[in-house]
Amino acid sequence: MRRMRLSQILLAGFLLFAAMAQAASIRSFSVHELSQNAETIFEGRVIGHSVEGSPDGRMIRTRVTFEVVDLIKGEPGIRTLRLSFAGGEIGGRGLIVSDQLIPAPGEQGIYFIEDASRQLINPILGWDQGHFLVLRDKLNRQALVTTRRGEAVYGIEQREQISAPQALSEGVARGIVTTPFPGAKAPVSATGFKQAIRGMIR
Amino acid sequence: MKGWIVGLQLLISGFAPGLLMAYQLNGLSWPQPYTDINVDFSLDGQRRSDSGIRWNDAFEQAADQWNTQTAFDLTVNKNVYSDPCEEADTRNGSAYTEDECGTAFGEGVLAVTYSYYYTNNPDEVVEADILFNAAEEWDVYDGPLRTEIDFRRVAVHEIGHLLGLGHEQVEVAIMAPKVSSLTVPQADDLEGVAALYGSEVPAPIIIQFDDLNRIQSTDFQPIIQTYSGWAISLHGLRSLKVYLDGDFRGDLVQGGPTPEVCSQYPAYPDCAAGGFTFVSQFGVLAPGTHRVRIDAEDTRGNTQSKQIVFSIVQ
Repeated sequence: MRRMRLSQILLAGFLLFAAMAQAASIRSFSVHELSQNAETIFEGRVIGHSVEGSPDGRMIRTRVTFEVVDLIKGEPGIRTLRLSFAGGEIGGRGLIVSDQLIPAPGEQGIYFIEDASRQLINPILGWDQGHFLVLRDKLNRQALVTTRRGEAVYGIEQREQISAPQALSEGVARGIVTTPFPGAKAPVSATGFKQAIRGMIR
Repeated sequence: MKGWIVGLQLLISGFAPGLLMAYQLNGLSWPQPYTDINVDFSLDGQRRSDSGIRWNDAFEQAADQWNTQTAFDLTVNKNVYSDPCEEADTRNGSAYTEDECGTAFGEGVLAVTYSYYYTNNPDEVVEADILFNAAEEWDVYDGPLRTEIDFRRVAVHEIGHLLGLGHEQVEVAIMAPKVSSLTVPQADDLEGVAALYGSEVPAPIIIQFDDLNRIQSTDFQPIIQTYSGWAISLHGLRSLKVYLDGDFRGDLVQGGPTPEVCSQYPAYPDCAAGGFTFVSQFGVLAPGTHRVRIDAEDTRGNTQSKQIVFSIVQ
């Protein structure tokens, strides 16, 4: 019964992600490119949200504060990181940017940040491609990694994935394996995922 | 514990996508099946792509891919500039920009669609802007992808977002997240728009004029009578011509006040001034069946005819 309810909750969550999927036109990145080009990579948890509008009412931005749980790449000693995303609601008005899903309060994930000091539409490099979720299985005390859309990550290809320069994002970085394969029938743990990324940075 | 893992694997592996419906909606739509958008594209000071096609025309062609196959009509106001950094003004706009009012696109971001709404009506778009990254290399072409990004097919894709479509991951669709050899909306895309705005595709031109059956006559007097009607077009009329039995008889001038037409066809920009009048001077007609036809052509080459048949009885 408990398992049934859990499955139903997961199903509802997955379908919610799917229904919310939108798209801008973003170039395709490989996980190697994400690892090399991101200024900061970290596992973190969203601990704060605030929305602000520009004085002329045109732009709405949501500022998200992350607690940095594990810094994978970036300036040492970062405890919290504040990132700004275009979109949000304030003063009776709302703005949605296609393909922009702002990390929600309480969300825990692994984030590839393009440049925290610049005001970008979305500070996550490659948008969905550099945005992973960490789901905690409390029964076996293991943390699993999924894509932003909720697909489990079964592996990370160590070889660089080349694609045509005009290829656009399909929502998942090249080299991220989201289907089981021989030798990898279970999703990758958060620890294993971070080890692989650290290996690429080195 | 094992069950939870199995459940997770089923949900987040290839099994789950099979549960998805086809086309995806982004949760926002327009309150009516039409809107307009101001476009004034210029890239590095050039209004034409390397292929020679004007950016504005390519955007209009992209809009027409949706206009001609769905109930939604997106009127493209070419060479009308809307400052994307101006205060929110409910005017839709699209342009090449270096950034979005101080907000940089970021690495690899080609184009985005901003949709605005009021929070007391969060399902309804009040303004949408499509921004193309001027720092990228663009051109306009059909067929296989080249190094430069094809502006037109990206515009078709982004206009799909403006209409309310999200990404389609399963079916073949222009709304798929990956740019491909597809350049036009596919059946799945059209079904998505039909779900939002209905499936009736509006006629580009509508003509209405008084019933000429009343000139049915039993005598041989010259038929001289004044007739009136209206013609409206989604994209503006180029010509309106009268024919009798296939012979050209003259041009009509559209422009008379027709405010009542707007209440029925509000999507047509010329609905308030679509009236015309003409005087038939067809001379003495031979007994038998005759046809009066009005031909209209709009600025995009769409045509529409309205024909009325009447008889002269000896």
